[in-house]
Amino acid sequence: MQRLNKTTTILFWFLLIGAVLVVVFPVAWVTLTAFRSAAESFSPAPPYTFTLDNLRAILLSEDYPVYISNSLIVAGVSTLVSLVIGAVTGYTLARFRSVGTRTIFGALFIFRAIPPIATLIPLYLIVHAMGLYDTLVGILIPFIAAHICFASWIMRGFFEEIPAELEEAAMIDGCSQWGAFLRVSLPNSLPGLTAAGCLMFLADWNQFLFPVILTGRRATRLLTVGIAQSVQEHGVEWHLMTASAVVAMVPAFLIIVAVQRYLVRGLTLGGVKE
Amino acid sequence: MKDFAPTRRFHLTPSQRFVVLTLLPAALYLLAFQLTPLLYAAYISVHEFSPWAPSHNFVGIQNYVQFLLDPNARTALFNSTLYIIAVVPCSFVLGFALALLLNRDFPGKMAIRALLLLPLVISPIVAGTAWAFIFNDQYGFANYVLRVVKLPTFVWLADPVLAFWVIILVGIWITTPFFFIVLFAGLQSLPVAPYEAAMIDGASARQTLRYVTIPLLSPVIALSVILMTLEALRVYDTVYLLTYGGPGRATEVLSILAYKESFQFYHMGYGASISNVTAIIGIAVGVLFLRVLRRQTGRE
Repeated sequence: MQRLNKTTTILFWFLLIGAVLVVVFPVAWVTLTAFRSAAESFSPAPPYTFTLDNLRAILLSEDYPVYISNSLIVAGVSTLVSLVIGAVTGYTLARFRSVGTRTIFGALFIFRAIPPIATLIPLYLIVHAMGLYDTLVGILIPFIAAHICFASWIMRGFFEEIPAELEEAAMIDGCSQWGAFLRVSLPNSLPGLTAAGCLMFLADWNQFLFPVILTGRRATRLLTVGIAQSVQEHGVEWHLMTASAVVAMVPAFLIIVAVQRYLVRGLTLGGVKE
Repeated sequence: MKDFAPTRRFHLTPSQRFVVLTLLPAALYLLAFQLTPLLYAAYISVHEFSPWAPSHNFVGIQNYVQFLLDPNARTALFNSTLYIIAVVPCSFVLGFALALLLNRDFPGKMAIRALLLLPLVISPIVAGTAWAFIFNDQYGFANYVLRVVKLPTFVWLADPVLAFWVIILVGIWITTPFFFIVLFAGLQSLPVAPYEAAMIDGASARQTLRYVTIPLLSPVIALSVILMTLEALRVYDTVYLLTYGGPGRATEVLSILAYKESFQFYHMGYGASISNVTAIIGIAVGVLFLRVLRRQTGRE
């Protein structure tokens, strides 16, 4: 890192603050509006009266708590199932190199490359045929399918960084392959599991395309679908729209504050590393 | 390297059994809910398909011919292409600039990095809501600013051209943080030696960037560009929320067109052919990605 002179320092902070403002503005503006009174939400002009009414209206409404708990349940279950499958698949792909595992790895990526719209119509019909239309289980199906590819990919990267010598030592001491995996590698891959878990939870929490097609009733609606459809059902009520958007951003805020480091590792590993 | 090719037919060594057992859940699940749907989609696309009809007329490639002739499909294909070639390069340049800017020590680095990641971690639905609010013609912030400085205002999302540029802007806003974080991590992991050599040789900052940083980062650059191209190809949520493909059908992208044809007009055969074309584009990009990966690992 070179030392900066005064002009460059000023320029640096000017650019940095400018960039942060542009990036944060839409989120900040929505948050600000969510805490303004309903009447004020129709104009960006002052005054700005602080109120919790909008948030209260969302959280105490009949619908939104259902949407929120649906989103939590679906994201939680799908993340756990995908983590288990992703961890064992990723482990084997990292430890056993052969034509077979290489082919499977390639197939996982090709599945990841296919846009979700491609399986939307058939999955809609399949979920219907299974009698799972308009149930939370039905939504889980495409979520987990997408995650298996992602989680295996990302966990493979993490397992590759755990030295195989650790396991070999354990196996010489009489540990089976399962023992080596469960007692040596898995505990060491906790950062990887955290990163993959957070990213998958967020992805599910943010999902929209499949839930909007696979559900119809309010009882099975996810929060994202609720937000998108509130316009059609209640007309444009910006104070409530923004308040529900703030609720939807809470997990993202929490995760970014609590585990930013893991999140960044996961994003870069899931993104570009082989 | 452990070999697990079956030696005798039904006798697997413990490690072979381990491999089969660990790969089985993922393989079965993907077979059922990824490969089967893709084959089913291929079947649907060559039929005149109505979901609840007892039988479907085989129509061959008619739905694909319709895709080539349909002016709405042409618009969607054009829009998807425009979206990719506008969003990916712009986000790359902005993300790279941010990564270079933050690649030094300064107070509050972690907090600023967290703020820059926001668009990446919030839902595209929330992002769409936020931007739809900003570009609302009556109550939005954009027109408010224009009114304050006495400039003409716009009906942003009801204008076929402007609306698509708003969609692209939102796309750039969402995609830039990804390039930023991936390139930032790449920069942080670069070796120091080439930089010292460049400094000794008296290279300018621009030359260092051009001849040291970019070549060293080129694998990361190539892979992130391909990954974000795939991401741009599947754009759906923000378009749904900002315009739902409107006004008229001016801002439809491939995924919105496929959605509307399948679930609004119930032309599922045609809808499936559109999504299959989209999938083929995705697979082509994915194969390219694997090629790049292979070449990279071959070099290392």
